Amino acid sequence: MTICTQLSDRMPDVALGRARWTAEEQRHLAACVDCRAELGLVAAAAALGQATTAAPIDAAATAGRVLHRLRVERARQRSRRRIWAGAGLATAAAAILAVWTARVANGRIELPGAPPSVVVTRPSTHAAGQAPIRLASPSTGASSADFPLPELDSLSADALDSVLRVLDEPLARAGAWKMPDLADPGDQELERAFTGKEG
Amino acid sequence: MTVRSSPDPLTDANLAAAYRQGDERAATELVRRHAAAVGRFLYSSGAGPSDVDDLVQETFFRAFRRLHGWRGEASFRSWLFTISGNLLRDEFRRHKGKRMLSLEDRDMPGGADPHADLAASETAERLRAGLATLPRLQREVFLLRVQEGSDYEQIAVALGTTPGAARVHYHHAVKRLKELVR
Repeated sequence: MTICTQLSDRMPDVALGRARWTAEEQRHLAACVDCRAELGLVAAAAALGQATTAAPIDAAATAGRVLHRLRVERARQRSRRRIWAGAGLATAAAAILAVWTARVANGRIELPGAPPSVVVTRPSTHAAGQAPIRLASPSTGASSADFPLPELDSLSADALDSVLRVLDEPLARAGAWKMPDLADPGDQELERAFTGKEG
Repeated sequence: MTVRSSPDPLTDANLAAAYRQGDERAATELVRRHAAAVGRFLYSSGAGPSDVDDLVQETFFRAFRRLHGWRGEASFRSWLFTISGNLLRDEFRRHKGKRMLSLEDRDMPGGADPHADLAASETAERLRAGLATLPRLQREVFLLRVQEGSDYEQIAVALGTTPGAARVHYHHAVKRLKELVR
């Protein structure tokens, strides 16, 4: 590092009064035109804005204006949030209302609290003589919606009836298939177990 | 904000934390501490004298709105200078490249030697004009170094560069300004 570079690095600190030149540096400054020009530049830049050409800042007034703007902005944000929250609630309420009052073609859904009321319909092209299967509880007055179950289309009326009878039974009364004791099953035991499962 | 507060209640970090808790007096104290330096920085960077007040206000407004953005690695003042620099850039773009620097503003400070004062005033104006022509990073490195006395490590953190690069920027700025102000 040359002595000019060394002085250049220290000039800001000296110009701000935070450091002082060494004797050697002072001798160099006295002899080096470039370093003196740079020191003048740095000193002028350090003083820039402190001269009377720049109006002093009224910090208290500035702080007051800044804080006022921040308060106004926060109030606006709170107001916007309330509006958006209200709009969101209204949208959610409208959506819930639409779902519960919706009528899906050929199907019905149950409202919570109403007794079970499942209506199973066939598509319009059902086989002749096969009327739509409908199960309903004795309850009346509950609104319901229909929904199609295409998986049941392939069942015969008798098979559909047996499925629906199973659905009718409460789970507690449904005969649970008892798992045979497989701790030491012999071949015959296993045969019987699998046969029983298959019906 | 991840700035750690020290036991001293009057550090910038503690004041910033206090304002975030709702203490407006803390914000007032921060403005009182840094407004003059921000004003000098803006003026030195080419803002017209009549614009400095508004720009200082806007700097603090932006700062307090996003106080969470100050992570404490750089000093609060350096962070304000960064905001001021962005603000000047926005203003420059808004005015579509029209120079903001007002070279007609040459108030004559009262003094015993009016000729020396005029010479100093003219030098100051040429210096401001020269600073306005520097690339932003060179200008901010130079001003942080000569007006704030920040070392290159601090400047690097404040401006998102390295100490070595900051040093290079500083010497480039000095070389360029010496040619312009001569």
